[in-house]
Amino acid sequence: MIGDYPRLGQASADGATKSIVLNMGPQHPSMHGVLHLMVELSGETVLACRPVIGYLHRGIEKLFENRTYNQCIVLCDRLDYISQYSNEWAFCRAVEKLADIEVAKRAEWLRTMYAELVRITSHLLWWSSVGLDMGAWTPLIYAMVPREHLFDFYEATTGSRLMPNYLRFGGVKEDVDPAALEELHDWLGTEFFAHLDEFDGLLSGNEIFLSRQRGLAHMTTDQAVAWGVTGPMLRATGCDRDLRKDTPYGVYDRLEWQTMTDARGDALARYTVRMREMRESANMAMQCIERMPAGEVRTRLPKVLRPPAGEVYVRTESTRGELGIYLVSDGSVKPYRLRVHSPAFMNISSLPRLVPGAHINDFFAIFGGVDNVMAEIDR
Amino acid sequence: MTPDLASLAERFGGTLDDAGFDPTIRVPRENWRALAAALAADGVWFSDVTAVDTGETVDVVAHVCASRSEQITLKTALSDDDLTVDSLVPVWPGVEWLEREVYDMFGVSFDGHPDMTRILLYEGFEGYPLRKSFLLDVEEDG
Repeated sequence: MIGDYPRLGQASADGATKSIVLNMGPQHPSMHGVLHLMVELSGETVLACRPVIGYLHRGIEKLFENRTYNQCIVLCDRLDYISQYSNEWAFCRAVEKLADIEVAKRAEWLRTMYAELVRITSHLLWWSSVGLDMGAWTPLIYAMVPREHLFDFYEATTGSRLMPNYLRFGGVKEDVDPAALEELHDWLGTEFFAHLDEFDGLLSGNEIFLSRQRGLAHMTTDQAVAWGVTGPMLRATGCDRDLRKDTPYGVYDRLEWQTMTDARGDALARYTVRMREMRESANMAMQCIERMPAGEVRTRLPKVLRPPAGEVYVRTESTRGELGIYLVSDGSVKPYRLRVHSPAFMNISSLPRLVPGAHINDFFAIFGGVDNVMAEIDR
Repeated sequence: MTPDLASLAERFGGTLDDAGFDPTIRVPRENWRALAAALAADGVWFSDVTAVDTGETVDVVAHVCASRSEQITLKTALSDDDLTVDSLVPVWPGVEWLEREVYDMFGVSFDGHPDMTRILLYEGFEGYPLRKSFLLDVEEDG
C-alpha cells in the first residue's frame, strides 16, 4: 500500500472487539522525548496510529530570520542535538554555496571526521534505546561507555559535549590537538571495535531479539521513496541511495568506504544497516585522521556575512537521512527564509503506515527502528 | 534521465528559470498538481515542500529530484486573498505532513489533502508564524 493508510476512527475493528484509542505520551518514559502517539487498538492489534508532534516546537525557522548568519550556527545545534556537527555542516554548506566561500582544506577533513563520529554517537544512542524499547536494559548502559569516550573527545577539542558551535563558514572554529587525534585513532581501531563486537554478542545475535525484529513492519524501496523516507531506513530496503556518494561533499569522494544496505526491508534490516554504519563510520574517521593535511582550518571572511540575493537548496546526509537546507537570501545580514527539511520528520511520518496490523508489543520494536529525535522533528 | 523542463514549463503555462543553482519551474496554481504528476510520471521523486512569504505573494516551493544528484525547484505563487492550491498528496503520498506544516506556518490550504490540520502548533493558535506580517517580540525591541 503506497497511497492512503488507516486513520484514527476509520479503521474497522474485527466486530467482536470494540476498538479503543490509547494515548501514549507526551510525558512518558517510553517516549523518546515529548512525542504523543494516539494509537487505536482492537484488543492487542494496532488498527491506526496518529503521531501528535510539536511539543518541542521552538520556532527555529522563525528565529533564523531574526539572527545574523553567524548566530544561526548556534541554533543548528539545537535542531538535532544528537548529531550536532551534521546540522551545522548542512547549514554551512548552504551558506558557502550561495556566497561562494571556499572551505579550508584541513577543515573539510575535520568536518567529515566529526560528521562520522557524530553518526557513531547518534547510532549508539539509537542502539541503546532500541534495546530498551523491547525491554532490554543492558544496551542502554553498555552503549554509554564508548559514547562517553567520544563525548570527552568532543569536549576536549571543541569545548562542548552536545552543543559545540564548532563550524564556521569557510572552516571550523579552531584546529584540533594532534595528540587528541592520535589517541582517538588508537581508540577507534581497537577498543571501539571491541565494544561493537560485544554489542553484536549482546543483542545482534540474541535469538529473542532476532525473532521479534525479523519480518516486522516490512517496507519496500518504492514505498520508502513515495513516503519520503531517507537515510538508514531507506537503505534497509536495499536501495543504496546515500548523498555522501551521490553528491559527494567534504572529502567523502576521497575516502575508501561503502554504502551500507540490507535488502530485507524489515525492522531487523534497519537494525543491521545502522550497526554496519557504525563500523564504516569508524573506518572513515580513522582514514580522515591518517590523511588529514596540515594547514589553515578557516578561510578569512568579513565578520558580518552578506550572501548575495538568491536561493539555494542543499541536501546533506545526516545521521537520520536527507537533511535539506533551503536558504533564501535578500542580500542582507539575516536569512530571508531558512527552511530545514528534517529527515526525522519524514521518517516518523511513515509510522502510521508501518504499524497497522502490528501487535501492540511490537509497536515499540517498530518505533525504535525509526530513530526519531523530537528536537529536529518539531524544530 | 532529465525530463525536458522547457517544454514541460511551456505545456503548463509556466516559465523555466535556469539562472540559479537548480532549474526552477514556475507555473500558475491551476497547473500545480498537473506539473507534479507529469514529473512523477517521468520518475521524479520529491524531497521537500515548503513556502516563502515574498511580501506580495506566498510562493509554495517544492524541491524534487530528477536523479540522485539533479534537483529541480517547482514554484507557484498564491495571492494573499486566496491561499489555496491543489495538494500533491495524490502524486507523492509522503508530502502529507509537509503540506500540513505549510498550512500551519503560512495558512496555505491544500485542496484534496486528507488531513488539513495544524501539525506543529496547536489548534486554536492565532496567526501563521512564518508570514512576514507575524512579528516576534525581539523584532519590536529592535
